[in-house]
Amino acid sequence: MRSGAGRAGAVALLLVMIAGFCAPLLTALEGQNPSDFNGDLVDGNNGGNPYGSFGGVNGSHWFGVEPGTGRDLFALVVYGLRTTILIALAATVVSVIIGTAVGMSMGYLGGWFETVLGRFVDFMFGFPTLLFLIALQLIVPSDIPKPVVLAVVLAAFGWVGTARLIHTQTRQLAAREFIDAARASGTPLRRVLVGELLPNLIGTLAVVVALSFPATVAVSAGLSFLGVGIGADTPDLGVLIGSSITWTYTGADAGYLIFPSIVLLLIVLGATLLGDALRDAFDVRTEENAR
Amino acid sequence: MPEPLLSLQHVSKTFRGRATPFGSSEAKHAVQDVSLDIAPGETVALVGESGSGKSTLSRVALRLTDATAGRVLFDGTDVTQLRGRGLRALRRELSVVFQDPYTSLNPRQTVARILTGPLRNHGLPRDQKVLDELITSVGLEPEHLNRYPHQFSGGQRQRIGIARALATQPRMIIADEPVSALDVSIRAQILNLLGDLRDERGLALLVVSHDLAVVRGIADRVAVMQDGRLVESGPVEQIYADPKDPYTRSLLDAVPVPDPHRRSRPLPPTE
Repeated sequence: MRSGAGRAGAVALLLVMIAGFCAPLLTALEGQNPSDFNGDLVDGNNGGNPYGSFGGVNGSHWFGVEPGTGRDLFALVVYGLRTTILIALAATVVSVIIGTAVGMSMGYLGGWFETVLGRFVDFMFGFPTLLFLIALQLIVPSDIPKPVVLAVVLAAFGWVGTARLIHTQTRQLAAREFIDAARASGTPLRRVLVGELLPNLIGTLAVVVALSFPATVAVSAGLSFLGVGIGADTPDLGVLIGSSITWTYTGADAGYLIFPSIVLLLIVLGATLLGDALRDAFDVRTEENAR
Repeated sequence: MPEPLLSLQHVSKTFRGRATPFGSSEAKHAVQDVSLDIAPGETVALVGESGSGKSTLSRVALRLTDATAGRVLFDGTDVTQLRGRGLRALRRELSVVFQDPYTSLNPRQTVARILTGPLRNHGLPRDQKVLDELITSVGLEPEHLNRYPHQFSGGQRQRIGIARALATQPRMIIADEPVSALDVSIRAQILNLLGDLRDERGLALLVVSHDLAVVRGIADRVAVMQDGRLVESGPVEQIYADPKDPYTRSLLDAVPVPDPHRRSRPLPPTE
């Protein structure tokens, strides 16, 4: 990859990913864990604000502590990172698979199938997803783990963009003569799709994954921020940022807001830069750069 | 006349106009009531300018698209309505070479993979020996098998396309403008290769072309299409020496003559 921004994005994303997956290791290194309450580190007379500067940053609490509870913020951030990444990754993988299957079958089969499914895709595209997600979170039984619910609903609405992009790409590819050549020699439908078409969509799919991952991270953090995503008991970046806002408004040190935000920014920005570089490298037309 | 291998009987193909909110555009009658027989081992040239329906007719014959009316018979069997497995014999015994060797080969597949495809579809042996034979039969080397299409020139790619068409040992090949995307300098090589393979293997050949000069050396019979209709057909020498239809005459006039001072017909017979 020749793009400097893309390379920087890849490095940032990789670092954050590693940090998330090595969360237990990193917190062990720091000597903390995300569930210990340290009441002695916060000033009860000052609304539960941490002692010390910048939210109580010191050698044993690298990002300071959470106001009120005194939980170690670094541990919360790396564990939260892990939740956020896993949810977004699962949602992205599932939605890309659904989107690819729908888009490819529409683009290749055409006819009434394409028309009917195309209308459904348009309907889904215009659907007020966020409102629906909020409503759905409220009615789903509470014994289903919240992260799973979140991943499923993100996937259920995330495939639409992928389907549209893959649909147009497949239509263009299907018009190429090597597809006719495959059909003329009697290649079964499944093998035309998987053996002939899919390998030509790999570049596009890499871009789709790299660009829809950060978008999914942002939406899932947004939902948690609004309080309808992950419950407060599971460490999650969106939850952390959501609760930090209140603290920051009421005069707590901005460190509680800044550390999780920077990490979230690194994921989203890193993946987006990487995705943009991939898009340019593979010369894929997405809806953003089509105009 | 022997039993035809491929028989197109009163074939018509109409493309429906596109429906828009402001009414639908006019339907296009790409092929209208065309009948054409090709005997085993015979080479027929289908000529006409672009838009005359010759490519559509060949796509109908290949069952890549459905005829609106008429029948397609291959080796005495009506294949017009067959689908899926019913088309196996046709798919195996009738191959195609496309015009553009840049889009007719899957850019993500090696040559070996491209050649294996048709063999796999019909459960034919596809070991190294078979592939080596195939690739050398079109004048390429076995070491080319592991390369990708972009590593070849246009002429070499068309050879790969021909090797793919030969893979299932068909009885007939339809070549849709097989040389028009190639440099003039290599057209003769590809046409000669097609002619040699036809002679060696007793193939029937339908060569679609807009260029009468291209098909002269290779065809036994010429069929001329204009606006979706067959306007003239006959032995190649007769068409060249004494074209009946004014359209055929205008096509012949478009063929450049090596010596402009001898521009007048009839052209001297070849061979």
